[in-house]
Amino acid sequence: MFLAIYDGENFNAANFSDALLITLFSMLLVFLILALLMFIISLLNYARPAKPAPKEMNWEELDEDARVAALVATVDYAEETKQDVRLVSVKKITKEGRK
Amino acid sequence: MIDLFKEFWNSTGISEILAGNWRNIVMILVAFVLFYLAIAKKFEPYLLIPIAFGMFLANFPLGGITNPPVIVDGETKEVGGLIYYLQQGVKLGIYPALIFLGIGATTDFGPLIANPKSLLLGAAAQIGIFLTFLVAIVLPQFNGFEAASIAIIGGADGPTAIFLTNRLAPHILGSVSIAAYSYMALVPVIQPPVIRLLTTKRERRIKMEQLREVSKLEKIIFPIAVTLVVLLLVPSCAPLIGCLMLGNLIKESGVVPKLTETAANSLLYIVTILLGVSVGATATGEQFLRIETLLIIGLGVVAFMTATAGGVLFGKLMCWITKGKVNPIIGAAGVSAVPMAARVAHLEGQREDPENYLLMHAMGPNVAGVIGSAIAAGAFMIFF
Repeated sequence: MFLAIYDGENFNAANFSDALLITLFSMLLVFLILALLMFIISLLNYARPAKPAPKEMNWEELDEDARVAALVATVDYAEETKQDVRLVSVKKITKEGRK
Repeated sequence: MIDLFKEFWNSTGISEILAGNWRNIVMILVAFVLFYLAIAKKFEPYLLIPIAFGMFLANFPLGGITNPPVIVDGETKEVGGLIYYLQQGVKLGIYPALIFLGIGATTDFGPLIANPKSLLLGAAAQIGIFLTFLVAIVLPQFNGFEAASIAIIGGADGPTAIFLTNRLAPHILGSVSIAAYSYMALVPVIQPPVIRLLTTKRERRIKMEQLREVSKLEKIIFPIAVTLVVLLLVPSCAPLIGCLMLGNLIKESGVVPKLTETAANSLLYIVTILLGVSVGATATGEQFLRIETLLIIGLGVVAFMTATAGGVLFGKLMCWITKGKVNPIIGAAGVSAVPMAARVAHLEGQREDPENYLLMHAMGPNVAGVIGSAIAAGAFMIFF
């Protein structure tokens, strides 16, 4: 049957079943290859260099304005994402930093 | 004196047109329409301008710009026309592969590496290609080669469509490539109704988690791994996938910035001009003004719409499996047409919720679609 499939010029509605077979096989091939790539790329995740753990923040070191700003930003982010949020670090942005 | 005038008259294109070669005039008018779309409406101008100009040049009667050389006993009696030589780049499959090299050098596969599941959305959108193949095959006007060439329009990838059509059915290259590029330009018009029809407001509002950072090492391994896997399984798509990944490796290696710049700019644009003119010149009156062309244009819409629907429906499936973590809209970007389809998905998300940023999430399926359509083309080449 595959010999008939190879003869593209003689394709017509009569051998629609062959066309269907090609379609299913090709679709399966595309899915299988991309699924295999998905698996390999997932493995690539392990090729990432480990990130150093963030330094624990000392809440007591912050002044009152910084604490309020950090809390407002955290609440705002939690409301936006509808998820539980953990404040990991607070970074002071200077005027130079904004530029 | 009269004989001289007659001889001059017979050598002009006007006499040829008056003698009944009206098809060329119609094609010149079609070229004007494409000029209008490209320049006034900015529909894929980088490609439609060269394509339209190639069509414009090739349809001047007696110009001979597409004529092959006259060779008698191995001796060239008359050299061919300029476009005949330029077209060898299409016939030998050189231009589409070089375009892919340039695309590779401009593409960031980071969003795809960060979310590998996007590859499945890119695969699902290829359903449009295969469904259109089934529709085209039942039409008496098309054989298997032509049906496969028409179906690849659904891949929304111009170079892939040109590459496959040139291999399988070069006589319909003009209509297939013009349909492919025209519909790619119409992605913002074709896709939104399909997306809105197949998704609920709630689904379109889904916000996705921010993508993780991708390391340089991952980006370097990616093109090598893709080439290895794809070419071992479908060697027929080596020119496309090989060049795409070569361009990407050049970019991601970071050690050859001048090669990256050349591939992503000079080479890409030079080949775009040559490809556009060569393809446009295949759309001569005799080849283009046929009932089959109308059917190809109609099937092109079917291909695009079913491809979009395939991606969105698979996105819905992923949304259901992940309990609402995937916005199904991003599935529509799996049709390639980089980056237009991703932008459409992003805008559709923002239409429902202005704070929904889907662009980077949609880029994953979008670039996966490029790989998927090249594999689909390779699959057709296995059979035909």
